[in-house]
Amino acid sequence: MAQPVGINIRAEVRGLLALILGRPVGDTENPSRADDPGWDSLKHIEMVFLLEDHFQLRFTPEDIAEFRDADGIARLLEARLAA
Amino acid sequence: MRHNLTVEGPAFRLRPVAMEDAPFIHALRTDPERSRYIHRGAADLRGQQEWIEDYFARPGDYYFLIENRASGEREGTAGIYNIDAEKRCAEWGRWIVRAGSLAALESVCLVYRAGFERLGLKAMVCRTILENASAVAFHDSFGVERVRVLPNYFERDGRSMDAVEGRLSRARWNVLRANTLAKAARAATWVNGNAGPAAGVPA
Repeated sequence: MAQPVGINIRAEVRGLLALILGRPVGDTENPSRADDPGWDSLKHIEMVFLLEDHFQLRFTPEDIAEFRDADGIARLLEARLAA
Repeated sequence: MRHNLTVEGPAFRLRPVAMEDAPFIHALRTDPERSRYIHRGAADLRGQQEWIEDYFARPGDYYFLIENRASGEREGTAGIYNIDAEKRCAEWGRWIVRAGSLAALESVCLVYRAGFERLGLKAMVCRTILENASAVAFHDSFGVERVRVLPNYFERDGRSMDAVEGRLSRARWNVLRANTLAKAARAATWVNGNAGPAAGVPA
């Protein structure tokens, strides 16, 4: 049975964040840029590159400004991919 | 000091600070979020202007405004100072980028290009308050070598804070340069509207 797209995106975002942050990210965890000291501005840029390459999208500065936490990233991606 | 050193990147440039930048710098340095880990800014605009006047008279101190090349919008500041002419080493800092700016990575690349490629430095050090975890993490991620911890290096509001001193040699910059500039060039596409780097800028 195919997984609903929304759940997959959230899981994928957490997986990509785990790669960037260099640590596991739990299924219910919502890492945020404000709270995670390892999520520095260079990692943030690398994360956006990873998201662009993984989801085959190009983001705008307005999109990137919304990338404050895992859930926010997933919401934006769900909206972009559903469009 | 008054200087004419300008370094251009794909989306941003470092240019000399001018007196007309005083209102922007004052606002940046008194922003509670941006100024938590830096020396208190001037109490008012006049104080900032007086600081800039003193800076203009101070030799061996390069203060830059980080500027969006296409729009001219001010993005932040950075400086190279305490130059040891014999060792060809200097400290850099005063690195503050306004909230929401995408200039962080490219501006640091431009600082290193200014120091190593224009001023001929062999090494550049930066001192970051340890509590400023995201800035410390940035330098670590960038590839800066942690050299030492400076206990009680910074005092603010009656509280002492330790700092970490990081060092990047020119040799290390030469190793990091291509990959880091490639990341900055790709990030510039966000700023330049996915149209690629601004025209006329070498990699």
